[in-house]
Amino acid sequence: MRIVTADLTRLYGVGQSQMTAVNKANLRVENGEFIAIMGPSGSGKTTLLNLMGLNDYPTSGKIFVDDEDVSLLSGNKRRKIRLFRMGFVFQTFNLLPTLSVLENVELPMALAGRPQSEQRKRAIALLETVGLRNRLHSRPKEMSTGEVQRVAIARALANDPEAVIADEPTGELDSKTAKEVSTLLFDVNQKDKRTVIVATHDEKIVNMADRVYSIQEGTLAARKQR
Amino acid sequence: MRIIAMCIRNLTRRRLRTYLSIFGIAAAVCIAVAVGATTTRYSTIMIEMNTFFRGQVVVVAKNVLVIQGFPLGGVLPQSVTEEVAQVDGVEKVVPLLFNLGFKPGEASGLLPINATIGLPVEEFSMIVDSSALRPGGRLPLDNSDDDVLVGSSIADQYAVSTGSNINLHGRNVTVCGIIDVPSPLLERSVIMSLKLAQVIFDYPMQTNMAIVEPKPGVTEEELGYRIEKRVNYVTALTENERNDLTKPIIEVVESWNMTLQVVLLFLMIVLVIVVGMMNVSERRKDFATLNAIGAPSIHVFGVVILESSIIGILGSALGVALGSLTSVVLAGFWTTIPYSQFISDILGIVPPIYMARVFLIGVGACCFGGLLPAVSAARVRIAEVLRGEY
Repeated sequence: MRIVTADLTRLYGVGQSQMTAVNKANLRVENGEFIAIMGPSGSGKTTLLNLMGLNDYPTSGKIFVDDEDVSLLSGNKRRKIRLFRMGFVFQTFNLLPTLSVLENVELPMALAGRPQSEQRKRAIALLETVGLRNRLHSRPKEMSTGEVQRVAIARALANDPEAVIADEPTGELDSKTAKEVSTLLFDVNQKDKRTVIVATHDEKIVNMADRVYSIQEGTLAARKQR
Repeated sequence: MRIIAMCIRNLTRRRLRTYLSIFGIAAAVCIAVAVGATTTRYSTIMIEMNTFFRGQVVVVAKNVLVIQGFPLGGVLPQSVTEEVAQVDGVEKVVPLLFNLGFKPGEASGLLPINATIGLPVEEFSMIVDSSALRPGGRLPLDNSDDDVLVGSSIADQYAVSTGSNINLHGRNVTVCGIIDVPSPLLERSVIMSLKLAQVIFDYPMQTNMAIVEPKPGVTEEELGYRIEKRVNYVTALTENERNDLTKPIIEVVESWNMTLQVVLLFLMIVLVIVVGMMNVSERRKDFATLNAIGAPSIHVFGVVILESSIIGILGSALGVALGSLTSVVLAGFWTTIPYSQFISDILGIVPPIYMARVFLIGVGACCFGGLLPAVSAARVRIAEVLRGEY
């Protein structure tokens, strides 16, 4: 999946209290690339990812997905892109606490209308890939943060997306677990040739990325090219 | 099935709040059923009283309180029968002694406990005929001084059967039949000959009402006017006048009932909205996550509505059950008839159709109350939630 932004801007608030979360960001993510976006807290990383992940509408500027302008698509069309073509990993995991690990991974497939037998088979295979075959029926609260984040990655891959967008996926993890999760994301990019966009402070992830951008007070700048 | 399981788990996650919501709904439905069933029974009895003597004129003493043609007290000399019979346009006059068994100061009670009706044996068909009796029973004989018919509710309460001897106000009488009809009035009635009723209730050569049948071509209004003109110590009530006397009472009872039901419905809706909004505000992140991973808004909306419906179904079912039992307790309380007797007739006191109606209204109110939280949940977006978090 190729994602391109052109002068992407997102403002919050009105009048005197208006603040610029993202300021004319120009970014080009090619199909199968691993992109890292770095920046301090409050710099606009999450807002940029939300815009690129079609979870938010820009104030101005455009977003193109595979050359199609998706900036102002209807909510339902954006939802379908999120459901079928993108996967999300959040810093705070965002698993549904009342569902088991298996059900959490099955959920996107259920929403996509896949047959139940297929959902089950694929969810088990994904959980096996992330090393959680033995925790299928556990609830998120019964697991460690590293395990929960691995479930979140499995969920992000459920509908076989072309791109995975991860917002500080190692932000809540200890260094050992963070390394495991980073490796998983790297595998998602390298083995499956999926586009991966990660907002992070983690140097390990930064070192894995094809290109690195930094964002400061909403302004994006290229930092490294591999 | 998966979505239902998910909703149930969401509800059990906040067990105390869910139970309190269910009990809140149950309490409202319980009161609605209990008050509704009691007032409906009261109205039914009053309306049923007017199904007797259709097209006939009821003559009672002046200034007597009359409910649907039946006087509460009042005395007329038995000779009133002859006097009224002489009025032009009268086909037939039947004297009747009607006693509701109220003691002084009890006339304002909600339901009559027992009724006693005395009338000439040959006119029993005016109130009840032999097909309304339990097998083995018969109407009193012309020459018998101590035959009585007893309503099924009284018979069951006191274990009386056909052939039993019972004591009424110090006089031994024989039960010649048990009246078995679905009529709250007749179920609690003792019917006997006028002569026997006059002896038992100490009305020597007296009665308290007379039923007058007009000749063909004579209207009730016309006949009533002639009777009152000729016999100046009576009031002659046509069917319309009898209805007019009690209609306001029934309307007041029913309007209070309706007001109470509307208030309860409103409170139920408010309760569901409050609980629903609390649940949604606590689960904003879950709803936002669902939205972010591509769940349609209708899915999120459906989850919240389904949760409200589950609370509604459980609360209403519990409320209907408790309300039915409360109706039985109230019926027993107002009539001093043992509860056990009403329990076997619980579907008579709270008809299944009424239970179903209140249940559906309860569930409907909860679904309606769930609309606002559901819309609120469907509008949650991950960008807002994450912005709030970081």
